[in-house]
Amino acid sequence: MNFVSVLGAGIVFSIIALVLKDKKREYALLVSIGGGIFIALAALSLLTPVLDSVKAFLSDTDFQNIKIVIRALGIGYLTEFAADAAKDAGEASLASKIEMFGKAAVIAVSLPILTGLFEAIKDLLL
Amino acid sequence: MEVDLIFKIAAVGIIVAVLNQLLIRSGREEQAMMTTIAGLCVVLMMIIGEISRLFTTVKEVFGL
Repeated sequence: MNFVSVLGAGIVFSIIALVLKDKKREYALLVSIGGGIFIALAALSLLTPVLDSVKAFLSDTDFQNIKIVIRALGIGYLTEFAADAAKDAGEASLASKIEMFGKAAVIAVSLPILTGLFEAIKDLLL
Repeated sequence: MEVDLIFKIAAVGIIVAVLNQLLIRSGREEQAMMTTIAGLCVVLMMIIGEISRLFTTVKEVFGL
């Protein structure tokens, strides 16, 4: 899926959503979510080799934090997808709740890094 | 993922809109509401399959 066709597809999807917007708002939302999925998958297909090379490069060092960083990236990616869909539907409060949940999930995932940081600070100070 | 899924959704939306107008003009508001709900269910089933595909792909890529 080369670069230009994905951009063109994005424009076509927004036009289709516009056509459906005045008559049937729910279908316009579904078209935009479908288009979002299509473009997100295209972006993921570009991103996978990058992530694999980063993992391969850092796998020899015992640098466990990179796995947590990548997981946090994935959580942010999905949360943003859901929050934007909610915003498109006009549900601003739902979108902010989804984003709050995403932040909580990222913090929960990055707990080992936080504990490591606190340990370092404690050793430094005491 | 093929692009035609989104064109299918647009087609269902347009058909349901036209059917709706047809049924409302001929005085059958209930059937119009039923066709809207039916069309929505069809499209939702399609989209949910694609959303689950996206989420599993993201889980594999990011190792969630």
